[in-house]
Amino acid sequence: MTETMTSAMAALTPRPRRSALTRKVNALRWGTVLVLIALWEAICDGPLRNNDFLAPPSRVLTIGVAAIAQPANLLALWQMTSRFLEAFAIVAIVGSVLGLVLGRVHRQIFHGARDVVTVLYALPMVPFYPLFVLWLGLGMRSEVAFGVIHGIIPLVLITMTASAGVETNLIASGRAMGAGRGQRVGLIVLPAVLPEMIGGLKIAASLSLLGVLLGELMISVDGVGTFILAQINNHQAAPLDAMILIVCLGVVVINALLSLIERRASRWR
Amino acid sequence: MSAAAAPAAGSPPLRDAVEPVISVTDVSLSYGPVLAAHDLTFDVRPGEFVSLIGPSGCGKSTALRAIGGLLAPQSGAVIVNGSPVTGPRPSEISFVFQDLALYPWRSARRNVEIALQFAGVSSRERRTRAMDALAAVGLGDVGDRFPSQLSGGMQQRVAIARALVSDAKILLLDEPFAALDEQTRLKLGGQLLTLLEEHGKTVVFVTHSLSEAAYLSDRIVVMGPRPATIKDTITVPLARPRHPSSMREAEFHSLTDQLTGLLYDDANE
Ligand SMILES: Nc1ncnc2c1ncn2[C@@H]1O[C@H](COP(=O)(O)OP(=O)(O)O)[C@@H](O)[C@H]1O
Ligand SMILES: [Mg+2]
Repeated sequence: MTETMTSAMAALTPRPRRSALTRKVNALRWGTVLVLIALWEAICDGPLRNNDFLAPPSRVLTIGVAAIAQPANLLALWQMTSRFLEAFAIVAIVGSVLGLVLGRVHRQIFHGARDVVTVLYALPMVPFYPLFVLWLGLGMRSEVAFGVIHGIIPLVLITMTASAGVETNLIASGRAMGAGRGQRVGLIVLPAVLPEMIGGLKIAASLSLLGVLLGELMISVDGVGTFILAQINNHQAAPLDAMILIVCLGVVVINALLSLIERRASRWR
Repeated sequence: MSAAAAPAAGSPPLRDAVEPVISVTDVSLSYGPVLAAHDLTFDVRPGEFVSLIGPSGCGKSTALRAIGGLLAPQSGAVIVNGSPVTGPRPSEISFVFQDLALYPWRSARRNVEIALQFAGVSSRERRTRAMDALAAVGLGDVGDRFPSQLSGGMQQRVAIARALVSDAKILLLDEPFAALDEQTRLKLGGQLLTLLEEHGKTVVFVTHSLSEAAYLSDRIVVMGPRPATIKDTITVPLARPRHPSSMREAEFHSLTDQLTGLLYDDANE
């Protein structure tokens, strides 16, 4: 018995060190970013001098960022952020629950619902936005709703597929150990699908933000979308680019946070 | 019915006088239109080790699921401790699944704990009892590892510890050592036997290994191909406690010959 144990321990490889390869990969990654920025600066100072849409990084960081730091524009940024956060919170809660319910209640329900949700996922939502504005009015509510509709569909699809695929014996053994319905969902199905679910939340986060931003760009009176449209109309490249960069940065940060949680939740894989 | 009253004609009269803990009477089991077992009748007395043996796919696991309350019989009755089984009874019966059904996201210790968690045991008591159960199967020092970090034999012992941690007196084991080589299997089987005798457990053990059944059991129920029917119930003539040397006795060989004969009949049909 000790023999089998020691051999199994030896099979556990220690965590690999930061190797020369990782260092090279990192150097390449950040090197590429620096080269691209330098290229961007060079193009904007040369062939694309004084164009209306792409300012050089030096002007984006000075004039652009200064413009966004003004209270009215910070408000616009906050409006989009709060709309996104509200939409994402709704997506995370409703989408997870809906996905678990559709995946676990009955096989027939799962198969039927999967077809419907797959079609919905393939549909472009943009043409429906005017309907949202008609139903919910101009402003916050229709923008949040548009963010929700973009984010929730992939999360539901991923969660329901993962939870329908949880091994039946894992659940049967829970039943044999006396787990009630709630315990089976909370202590077996949920942890089993958590890594997939967080992956789904990552997709949902960027799509929710896209939905909110699209809403603000199409029919709205405030927020980042409106700010962007105004800069385009006034030929203000630096503030426009600065705002776009900030939005991109926000997406990267959200994604990194969720990846961190994802790695923690799938340590066992 | 008469088969249930006199399951083994050769056994001492005193044993027959004891009330069976498990009695399976004229049980037929099916999955939808597929009949998996037909007219099974056997019983198990307190402290007894009974093996179900038969070709794979014949319905051994199915029979075990019926005793465990995970599958309702189509006809006939399963009676455990005097009352008909209508669902899982975690305080009386614990179950080790054929594929172990360990929760891959839980450490070995927390896999054992979950049996107690479903039973509402406090987290402190859970922890100590789980550690004790793991120590009893020789895994005292790997409680923090995930199942994926354990060898096949260690995973099997975690599953057994999870079944032993509850106070249930009946243990249903579905080919717990199937993935192991013959020597390891018989060694772990022997250790398991000692452990079970210490705990005074009543065991129904599914296997397709003749020598394993002969080495471990008090009685062997031999099943035919699907739908499973009982071909014979054999009382093992070997004395207890068993020792590897038991396998060199003449009785052991004549028993395995007899089993081979019973099972080989089917292969020709
Ligand atoms: N969930 C299920 N649905 C339909 N058929 C099943 C299911 N589980 C088992 N069966 C069928 O029932 C028969 C008996 O299976 P099982 O009890 O697992 O056999 P054994 O454990 O003896 O190998 C097999 O033919 C198998 O295909
Ligand atoms: Mg089986």
